[in-house]
Amino acid sequence: MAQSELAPPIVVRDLVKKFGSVDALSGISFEVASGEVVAMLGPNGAGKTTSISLMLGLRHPTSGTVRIYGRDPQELASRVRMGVMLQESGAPPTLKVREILTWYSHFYPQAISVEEAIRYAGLTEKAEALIGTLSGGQKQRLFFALAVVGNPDVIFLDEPTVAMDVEARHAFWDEMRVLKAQHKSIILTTHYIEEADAIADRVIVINRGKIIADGTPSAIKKNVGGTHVRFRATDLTEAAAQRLPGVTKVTFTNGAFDLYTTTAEPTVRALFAQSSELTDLEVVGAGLEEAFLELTHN
Amino acid sequence: MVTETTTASATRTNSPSAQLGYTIYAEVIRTLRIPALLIPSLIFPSLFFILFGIPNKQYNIASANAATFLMVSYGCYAAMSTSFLSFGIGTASERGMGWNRLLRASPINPLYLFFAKLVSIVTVILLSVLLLYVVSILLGKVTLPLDQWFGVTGMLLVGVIPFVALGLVLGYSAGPNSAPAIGNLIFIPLSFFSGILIPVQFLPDFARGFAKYTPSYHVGQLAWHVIGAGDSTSLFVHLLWVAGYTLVFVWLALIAYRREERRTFG
Repeated sequence: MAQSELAPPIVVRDLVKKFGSVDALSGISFEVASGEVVAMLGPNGAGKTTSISLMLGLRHPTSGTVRIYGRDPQELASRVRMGVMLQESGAPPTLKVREILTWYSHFYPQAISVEEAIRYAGLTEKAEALIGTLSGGQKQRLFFALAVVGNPDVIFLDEPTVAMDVEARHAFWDEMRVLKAQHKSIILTTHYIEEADAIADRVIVINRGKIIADGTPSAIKKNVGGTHVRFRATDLTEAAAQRLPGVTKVTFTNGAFDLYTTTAEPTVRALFAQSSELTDLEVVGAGLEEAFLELTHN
Repeated sequence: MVTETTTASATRTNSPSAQLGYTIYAEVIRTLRIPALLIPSLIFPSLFFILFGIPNKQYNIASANAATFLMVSYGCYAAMSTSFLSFGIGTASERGMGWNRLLRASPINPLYLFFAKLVSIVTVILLSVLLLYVVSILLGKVTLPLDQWFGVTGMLLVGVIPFVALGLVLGYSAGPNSAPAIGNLIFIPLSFFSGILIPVQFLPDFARGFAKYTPSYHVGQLAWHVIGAGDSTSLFVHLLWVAGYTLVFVWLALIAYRREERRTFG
């Protein structure tokens, strides 16, 4: 027990998963620390859901290991510390919200009370409703309640907000922050970049079964050129723009320049020196979205 | 919606018996709330008795009163159809649902869940058989000594075992959409050509020879023996047949289960 207390919540080492001749994951490694919120970001089919399945012990790795607090995820001692929300779960339609949560909570030694889980998920008015009568959004809230009723230390969320409207998504992010404040480790997959930016301490970008970036949202943004400079100029060529200090990438369409630069100030200073016809100048931090597109298209 | 005060309640370890108990409770109420399962299970055996048992109550079948004989037959039908079809269709449809994946990632013991399903099916069967007995006594004037009521019921429950196993074969082989059709395609001929829905004596010759090799015939014989209407073969031989079929079905179910495991969780 003492040993497993020292072990990090999640350790993934050289994880490889092949489905027949298809490499779903080709060797990924990372650790998640206590209280850390990690977003796995990647296009569809990148290997996010496969990673989650392996971390949960729902599938066996072709090679490599997953450890939850130093143990195999399939062990009961690991399971009672894990909370899980999967895509399109479905649930027995003829059980009531309160009944299914009571049932679940019986199996977790540190469970919070069912009342608390119901309140936490905002299902107080639906506590006595049959699951089959819940709306899509309410079902999603129920799955969230099922993920937290056991008071888990590490929470896995596979595309948790995919069916939610904007308001519900923001409320969900608030809940993530509350869980983080309780020092729970959270790993979620998403293809909403905005979501990763809003709640994650760390983003792991995964593409074609490989980790292609791993860092804080701002570090990842910096990686791709940090700042974005947009302007119009009639007296500047694309090649000249490319030679401006700090510039990593230039796109030029219909008289409008789009530069990525590591640091904006020297770029802009040089720009004023070279061009006297400058209009519509805009300097913005590159979004995670741009970083993501840049990373996954190379 | 978000409460900052969420804290863990004191660690309270639920005993395995409390875990199993609530699992059974949840599974039984869940099942009893499905009208599509409950209504046919409850109604058909009694309906068959009203249609065929009552009009024939002045005749004898296999040296027993025909109404009594047919009541036992339809009791077998209740036990076999409910266990085979609900386990088969239930397993196949749950297999297609992400719910199964969520359960597997949880600390819920799958053996508890299986046992709870068994208890809920037996509950439905007992309700169905109880209704059949009440209808038989009140409308069919069926009388049996008390020990025979219990004996027949006990044999019906023995008959549940091979049909649950056969249900699992179906559940792990058929898809969620095809399982109901395939299940009925297997079950309806099986209950017709084994003497359960129509007594063996009234079957055409070819079917009479075939009947003696079906699992349902031997389950029927176990129950008919209790009321003194069995065939000349001993009860022990019929038990061996039922046990043999159970082993074969369990073996097939394991093969299908393992193949499914490799596909979904490999």
